[in-house]
Amino acid sequence: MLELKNISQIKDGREILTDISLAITPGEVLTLIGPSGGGKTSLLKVCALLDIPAKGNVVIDGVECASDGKRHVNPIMIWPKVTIIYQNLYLWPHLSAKTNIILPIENFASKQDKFDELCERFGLTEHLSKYPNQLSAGQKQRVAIVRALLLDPKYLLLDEITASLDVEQSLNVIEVLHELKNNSIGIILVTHHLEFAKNISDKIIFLENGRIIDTGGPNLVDGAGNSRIDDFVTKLRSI
Amino acid sequence: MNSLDIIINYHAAIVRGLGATLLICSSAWSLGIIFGTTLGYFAQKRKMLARILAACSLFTISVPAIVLLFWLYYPAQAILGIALDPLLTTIIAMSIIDIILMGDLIKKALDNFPTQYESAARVCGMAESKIFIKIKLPIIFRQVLPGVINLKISILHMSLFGSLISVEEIFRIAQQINAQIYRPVEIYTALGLLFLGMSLPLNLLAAYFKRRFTRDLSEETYA
Repeated sequence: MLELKNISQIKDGREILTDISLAITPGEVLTLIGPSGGGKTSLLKVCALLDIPAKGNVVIDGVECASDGKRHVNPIMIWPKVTIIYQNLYLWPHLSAKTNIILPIENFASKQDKFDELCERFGLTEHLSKYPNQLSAGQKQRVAIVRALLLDPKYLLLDEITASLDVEQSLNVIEVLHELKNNSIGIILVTHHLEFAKNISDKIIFLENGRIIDTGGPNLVDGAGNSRIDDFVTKLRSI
Repeated sequence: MNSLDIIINYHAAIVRGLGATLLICSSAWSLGIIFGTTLGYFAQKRKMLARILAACSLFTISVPAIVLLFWLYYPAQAILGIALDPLLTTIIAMSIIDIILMGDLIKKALDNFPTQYESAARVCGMAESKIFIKIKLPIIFRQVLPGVINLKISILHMSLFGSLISVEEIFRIAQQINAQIYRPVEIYTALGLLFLGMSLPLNLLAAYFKRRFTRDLSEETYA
């Protein structure tokens, strides 16, 4: 289980996360929704141990990894069991798509079949020799997804990964996420696509100004009785 | 007698002068790469060293190289009570300039390195050494290479100042030949051609790297 207990985070003297608690178990999908600047990406970074919370605890599979501004385990022991795909992807610009995918893998030969299958599935086979600046935004996003999937994470954190994908590719991602879920991978997802969130999530958290406003099941996006969430959902759907 | 005739007739002296020029440059270039890179690396990690490097860099780009060279040749040696060979003094002056400017280049590249590339590698479970060798170093190398080549060309040009403290480098040899046969147009044309022959490949290399690697590092994507 990946668990955050009473997390608060301060950046540039401002509290960006306040008393956040959440937990996901392997095979569970938790989606974070809410307005931009609400702390969703900051929360993912804490989950991935890229940032250490000023207050509260991060517990992964029973091991307290960080608490109250201190790191208790070397995160290299946690990565890539917990890994993250950023909204901005950050593919390494000097490496081809293929090298971007296989560089982190220690024993690539054992994963060649899975690599071929994922590249085929995400339509990357013809683009593997290209450099990131020669790929479209959607292709880059798919490279980042394949790179993360080949690492066999136990907890996968996804920050707006469908932002640059077309409908077909988004459906492809949903299908893959369902498979990951069935394979007991815990997923924390940040998205503005409400139907995507509803389709895949077990739990949804609405986050605003660094605070959890409400938590619920997939139907939270259909109107939670909370006027702030209803207002946000209505505005998002009107776009 | 044309420029080519002069090169042929005085080839022994010209080769000797070129040898001295290349000795000055290769020494300054090598020391610059080794110590400049080390200086830049540590300056990025330690604030005090960063401040010292910034001050030295400001001094180096503000004070003409010839002033530094003369200062090292006359007052510095008088103060220290030593007498250094002019060639060695020129090597020291050029090396100081190369080390400081190289250090500044490396530090700035490290300062501007996008940390997101590092964290993307970390969450993939890559070890620090692998991140440095496979990601950080190649990206920084590509970023600084055109600047480094430009710096090396500048050092080559600045090495001519050695002639003013009697170093028998290529410019002084040209002056000596001119004093014997008084053919300034042909002699300095030949000198220009020799420098062009040395600088052009480096300039082309700098332009190639700039074109090749700036493209790879751009954030531009196809829609």
